[in-house]
Amino acid sequence: MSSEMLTLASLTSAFFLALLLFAASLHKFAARDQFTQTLARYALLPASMLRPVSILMPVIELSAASLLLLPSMRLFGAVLAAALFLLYACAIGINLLRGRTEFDCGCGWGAAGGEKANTLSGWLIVRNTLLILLASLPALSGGNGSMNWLVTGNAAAAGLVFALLWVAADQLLANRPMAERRHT
Amino acid sequence: MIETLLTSQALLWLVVVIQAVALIALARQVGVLYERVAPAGALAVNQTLRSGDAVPEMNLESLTGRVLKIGGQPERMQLLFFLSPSCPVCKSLLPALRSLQRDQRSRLEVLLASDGERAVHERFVDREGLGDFQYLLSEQLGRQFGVAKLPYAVLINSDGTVASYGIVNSREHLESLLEAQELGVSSIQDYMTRAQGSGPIQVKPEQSSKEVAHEAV
Repeated sequence: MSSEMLTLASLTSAFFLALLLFAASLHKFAARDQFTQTLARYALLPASMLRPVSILMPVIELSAASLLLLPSMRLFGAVLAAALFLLYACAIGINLLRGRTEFDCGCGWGAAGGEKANTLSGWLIVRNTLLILLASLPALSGGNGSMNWLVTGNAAAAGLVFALLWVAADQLLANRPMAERRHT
Repeated sequence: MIETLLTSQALLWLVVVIQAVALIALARQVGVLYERVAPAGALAVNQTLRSGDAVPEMNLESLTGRVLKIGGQPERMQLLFFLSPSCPVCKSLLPALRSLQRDQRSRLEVLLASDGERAVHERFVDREGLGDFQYLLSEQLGRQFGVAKLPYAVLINSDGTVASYGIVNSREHLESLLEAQELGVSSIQDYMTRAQGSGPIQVKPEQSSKEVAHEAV
C-alpha cells in the first residue's frame, strides 16, 4: 500500500512538472524575443550567448518534460528538471545578492498584469526549492513502483489539477501589486 | 460496485479540473479589472473656470423669490447642482443630494440650478418634493461654469473660489467632489495625474469618453 502511495505521489509530481515545463517551453518558444530580453536583464551571460541560450533553454525544458512522461526515462527527466530549477534559482539568487530586483523575472507565463507583475524576490527561491523537492520524488522512487492504470489515471488527473492551480496562484500573485497600489 | 466507484472518481476529477479552469479565468478577470478600472470620480470637462479661480459674484432670485448670492464670500460652501426635469440621472441623484444637505448643513449649502420655462420647473419641484432646496433658474449661471452635460456639479469654497467640479453620474461622483475639496485638488482625475509617479493607474481616454457618451442626456 505504502509503495502504491509513493508511486502515486511520484507520478503526480512527474505529470505536474512535465505540464509545467511543457507550458514554460511553449511560452519561451512563442515569445522568444521577450525571453531573450529577460535573459539580458539577468545580466549573467555575454551578449553573444543570449541568442543561442534563448533557444537552448526551451529545448532543455521540452526534453525534460518529455522524459518525465516516459516510464523508462522518468529518472533522467526528474534529474534534468531539478537541475533546471536549481539553475533558475541560482540566476535569481545572484541577482538578489547584487540588489537588482526591479525587473520581470520571466517566471510567469503571460499573466494579465503587464510587465512589472513579477519582480525578483526571495519567494521565487522558495518556489524553486519546492519544485526541486517535487522533482526529487520521481527521482528517488525511480518512478516505477507497482503501476497500474488506476494509479496512472489518478496521478495524471491530479498532476493536471495541480498545474492549473499553479497557473491560478501565479495570476493571483500577479494581481497583488495592482491590488496594493489602489490603497496608496 | 467497483465500477460505480470508478465512474464517480472519474466524474469527480472532471469536476475538479473544470473548477480549476474556472478559478484561473476568474483570477485573470480580476487582474484585467484591476488594470482597467480606476476609481470613479466626477469627470471634469469644464474649461471656463478652474479650481482656485474666484467665482464672479452673482445675485440670483430663486423660484421661491429669495435672492441668493453665488460666489463672493458665502457663509458656507456652496454646491451648485445643475439638473433638468427631463434628465433621469439627475432624478436618481436627488436622494443623495437630500442626505448631503442634511448631513453637511453646517458647512454646505446645496443649490439646484437649471434654466428654461419657469412653470415646468415649478411642476418638477412639486412632483419631486424639492421644497427644501433653493432652486435657481439662470441660463447665465450655467454658461459661467461651462456646463455642457447634465447632471453637473460645482463646489464653491467659503472664500468664493471654485473648489471642484465635474459631471456627476452617481452618489460616488458627488462625494468625490467633496473629497477632492478636502484633498485640495480640483478633481479625482487631477489627483490621479499628480499621484501618478507613486503608482495609481491613469484614467484611460476611452474610459472617459465612454463615461461622457453614457452620460449624454
